[in-house]
Amino acid sequence: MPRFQTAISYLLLVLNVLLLFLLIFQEKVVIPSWMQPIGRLHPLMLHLPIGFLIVVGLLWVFQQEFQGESFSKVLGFVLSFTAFTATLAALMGFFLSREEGYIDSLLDWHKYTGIALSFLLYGLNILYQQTKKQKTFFNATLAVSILILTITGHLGASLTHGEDYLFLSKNSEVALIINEDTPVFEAVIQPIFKAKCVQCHNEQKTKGELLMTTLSGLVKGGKNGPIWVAGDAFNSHFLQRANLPLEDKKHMPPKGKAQLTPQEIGILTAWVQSGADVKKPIKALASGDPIQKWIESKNKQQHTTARTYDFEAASTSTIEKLNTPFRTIFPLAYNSPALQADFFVRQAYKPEQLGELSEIKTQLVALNLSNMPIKDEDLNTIAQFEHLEKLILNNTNITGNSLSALSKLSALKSLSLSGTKITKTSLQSLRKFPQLREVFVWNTSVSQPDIADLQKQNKEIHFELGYLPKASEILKINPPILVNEKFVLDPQTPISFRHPLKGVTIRYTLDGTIPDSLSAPIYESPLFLSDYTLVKARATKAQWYASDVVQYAFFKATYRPDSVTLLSEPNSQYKGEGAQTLIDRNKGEASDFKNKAWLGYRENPLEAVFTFTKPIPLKNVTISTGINIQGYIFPPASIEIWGGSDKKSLRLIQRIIPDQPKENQATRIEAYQSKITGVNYTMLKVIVRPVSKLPIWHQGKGQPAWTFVDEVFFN
Amino acid sequence: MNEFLENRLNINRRHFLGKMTAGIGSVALGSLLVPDLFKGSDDEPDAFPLGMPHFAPKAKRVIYLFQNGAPSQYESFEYKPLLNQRAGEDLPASIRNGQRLTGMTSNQASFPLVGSHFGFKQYGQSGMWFSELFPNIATLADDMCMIKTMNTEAINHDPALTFMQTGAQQGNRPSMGAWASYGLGSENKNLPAFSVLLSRGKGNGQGVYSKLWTNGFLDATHQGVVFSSGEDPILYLNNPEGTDQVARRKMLDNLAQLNNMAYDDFGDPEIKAKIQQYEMAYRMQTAVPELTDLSKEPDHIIKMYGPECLVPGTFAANCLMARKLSEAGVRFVQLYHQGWDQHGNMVGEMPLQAKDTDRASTALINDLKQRGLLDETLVIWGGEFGRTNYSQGTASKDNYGRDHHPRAYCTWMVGGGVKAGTVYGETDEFGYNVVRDPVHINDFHASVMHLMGINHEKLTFKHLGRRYRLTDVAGKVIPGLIA
Repeated sequence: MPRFQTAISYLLLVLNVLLLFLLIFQEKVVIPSWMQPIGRLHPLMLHLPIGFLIVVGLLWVFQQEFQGESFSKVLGFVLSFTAFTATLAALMGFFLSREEGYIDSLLDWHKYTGIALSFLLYGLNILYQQTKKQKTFFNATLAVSILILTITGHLGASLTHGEDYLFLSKNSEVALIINEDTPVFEAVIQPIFKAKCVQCHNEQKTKGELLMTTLSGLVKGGKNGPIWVAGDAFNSHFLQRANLPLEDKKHMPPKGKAQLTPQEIGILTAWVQSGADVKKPIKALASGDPIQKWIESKNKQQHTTARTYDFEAASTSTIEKLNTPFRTIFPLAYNSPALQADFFVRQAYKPEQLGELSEIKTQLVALNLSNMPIKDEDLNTIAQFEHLEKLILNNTNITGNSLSALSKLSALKSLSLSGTKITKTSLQSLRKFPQLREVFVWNTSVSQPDIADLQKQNKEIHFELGYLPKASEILKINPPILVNEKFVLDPQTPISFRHPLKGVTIRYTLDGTIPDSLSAPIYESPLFLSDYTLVKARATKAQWYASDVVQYAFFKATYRPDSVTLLSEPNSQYKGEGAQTLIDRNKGEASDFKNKAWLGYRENPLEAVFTFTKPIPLKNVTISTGINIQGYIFPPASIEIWGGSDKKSLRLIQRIIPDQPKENQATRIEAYQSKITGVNYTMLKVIVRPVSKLPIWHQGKGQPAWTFVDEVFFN
Repeated sequence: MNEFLENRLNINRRHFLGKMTAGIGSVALGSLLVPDLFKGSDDEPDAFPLGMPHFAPKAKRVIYLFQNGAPSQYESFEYKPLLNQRAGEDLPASIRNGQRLTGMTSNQASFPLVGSHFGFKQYGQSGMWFSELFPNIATLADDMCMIKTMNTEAINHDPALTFMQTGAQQGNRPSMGAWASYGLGSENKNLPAFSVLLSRGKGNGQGVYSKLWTNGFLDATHQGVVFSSGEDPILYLNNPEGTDQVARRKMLDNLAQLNNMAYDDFGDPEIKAKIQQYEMAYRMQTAVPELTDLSKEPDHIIKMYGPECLVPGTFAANCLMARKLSEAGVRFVQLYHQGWDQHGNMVGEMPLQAKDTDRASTALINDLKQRGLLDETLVIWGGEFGRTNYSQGTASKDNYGRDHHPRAYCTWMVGGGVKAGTVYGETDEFGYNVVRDPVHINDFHASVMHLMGINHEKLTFKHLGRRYRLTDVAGKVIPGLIA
């Protein structure tokens, strides 16, 4: 070990003398090119003395933790290595410092402190070898060394990473707010330089003597002179370098660094070609200019908008206070001071709610009062919202007489007055509105010629008249709507119709004929029916074609059988509620044959027996069926009514053969009535036979048809 | 009683674990592993507060006229005369290029090209092509941004619909409207921010399911509310007989107290959602009658939308209702019109479907325009995929059908900051492949959200250990769609 210590002491002495020599004659020293790589290893070497010195400090502080002779030897060993590596690092640093591109003052300080550290550690090493007992002096030197180490390290880091490397965070960079007045140079060109060039051309590291962080640096250029020739991209130095092949040593940015994209080169070229104007604002760009297109697409991708407001934002508490379920106020966007206010639910509107908005009168840019009972005098309140750009007053109670009050709104661009009582005269005051560009006047007394007149006076304003019905276009009105939901007559509930459109005439017939639109009775009040009736109705209105005819069958039900049994099973898919389906007075609908109100038969006829406990003076039996031609549901082939007092005495009363359709017909309910005279029965049997073969014109020709029955009525 | 005790213990344990994970140690460790943890820059996904746009929106509200079943582009907006010239010829393999087919045509021996039975004409200054079936929509040519190159991965209705509505094919993600409600909040606190209206056309239809308007993993308040197609758009909104408004208010106040007690015990956020829903239903009692009230509308509004708009449950009635809802500040109104699945009988059904939608869709847009609302309302019209350029089954002179086609189809948008009078993207002469500017569903979603002032990459929700967005891990805003 002593031999090693001796050797390293001599080595240290030699190296430090060399260092001192170089320092004194630094102006004259020229580093041969083969030695340059040694200098470039400085960033590697410098970490060793930092680490070793920290270990020395720690061992020294905690020396009481260790026992035995070897501790001082270990400490001495580490200390000599600290001094050795520090000297090496200093030498290498010196070589590196001869290369260009660093700021002189910072570099000088780093150089001197680094060399001082090397000397100090050499001294510390000697001090430790010779005077192991003199702790105070050693302590002081060690402390100073660590201090110098810290300073040197910081200076070195400032050189490589920039002077503000320690406390700079991305946050502290002020984001550039780009609007149409921002110069193209700042908005587009500088960000490209910043991303791709300034890593090597900054204040700390100014390769090729070119400083690209400032405008003056850019204009001055590098050691080859100015980097661009305004208006001549072809002869602009930096573009020539950017366009060299990647392998070329002069290609910029150098191989291995982030490269300019073809689009970026295109943008830079376009900018230089157009004169390299550093002041030209974005708005001065011609539309279609490649730079303008680039900004537009960047804006869209980055979700930025050009519109900014320079007034103060309202406080969150004010906005919260003014927000109610019926009056919502919200910022146009995150971080925007501009506010929009909407009113909802006419019933909940109170006049003072509008005035309360004066707390945000500066910030309000859009106000929607659609359908609110706003009166003419309220426009004076609205006139105080100085930055209002869009105002919606559709279907409010204003007459337009006080519209001129709004002329104070110098930013107002869009005004909606549809569905109000405004007049052409009142619209003339809009001439005085400086920014107004669009006015919506649909569904007002204002007419097409009025608009033409107004347009002449106000060329800047577009008046939107909206949809006007064409007299030549006549549409078919929709049919009347039946109010009743039940189709079994009930003396308390007359039959009533309605139509959602005003001014409609409903005409009807009760005799099964088609109501015409001129002579058929007009429906004026609810109809009282006393017996089974087929009601047909249609709606008519001037300027409209008459509606389709709707028909509804209403049934009278006097007697309810005491029991009913089915002698034949319905199809398993349409079993309804069993036999009771036929007498439960629950009518089915032709639109829904799957409903439990229906019984469906196909392969076999419906056969049902109805019994009464005492003989009933029956006048008729009505069988209600459904028809849906496309759904294979046809009128029955035949209906038989049998009567008697018990099963054995049943006799055929009547056989009905319904007319079969010759073509497709409307889906509907159709009833068949059998008259009975003179005999009182206690038992009746009804047989309904489905059509066994569909006619040839039907898509299911040859197949059996369906029969659906929902109810049998006895009167 | 035991459950209550356990519940309390659970909360304590959870709190304890919660504190631990939030402890300084883990934060320090986290900052080493994720160097940007303290950066606080706008790269953080949750940097934007919920309930307002990230930047000034062009569209404050959206009305999505979804054409369910996939309307054929060749009979509507995609004019491909080559298909008429080469009708009956087999689709060249070089054009099909390995496209997977549905089970309905994959066994077909040949794929005979078939052109539109219906004529086409150019409209407006933009010279956009429209088929004769859509004479009214055609008048919107200069207001419209027509996308010709929408494309999707799905080839069957359910996954395609689900993809179109939720950004994923599987059906467990929130719908577009739910995301809008989550990100932007409700403009009108008296109506659901996401409303759904259903209608059925006369053509061959495909079902719609509640998963299309689901809130997914988002809070239940963002779920789409389906308006009934009956006379009453919202059922059970009236107080029962014998209950007046005061009694109802008192009942709700007391109920809210009970619910709040339950919330204090269990801490389940669904309880809070429930309280809010009750409150909204209470306010809807006054807001909804104004919606159904036609007295403020002139008669000719009926002519504008067509008389069908008086029949509840029709597309026209839903369009009118959509205008009223949107005018009343509903963020996202979603319509579904069924019946566009013309595998056969294109010539019979397409005119019926077009008739259902042509006049009413146009009326809706013009109605918004005449009220000064079109510039802030985005109206979207389109289906879940396109249809094939060849016939499903044999094509006769008078009839043919078309199968599903995912590679290119049309969707158009009007208002709300879209680039008016533009056709975006281009397909080949067969209409089969995109040759320029494709718009994938994810891109479409990103662009729609952009129009609404939302950065689609920043609106996220953490679920099952990772952050989800409508566009999930894809999608880019398409500048060409935006004015």
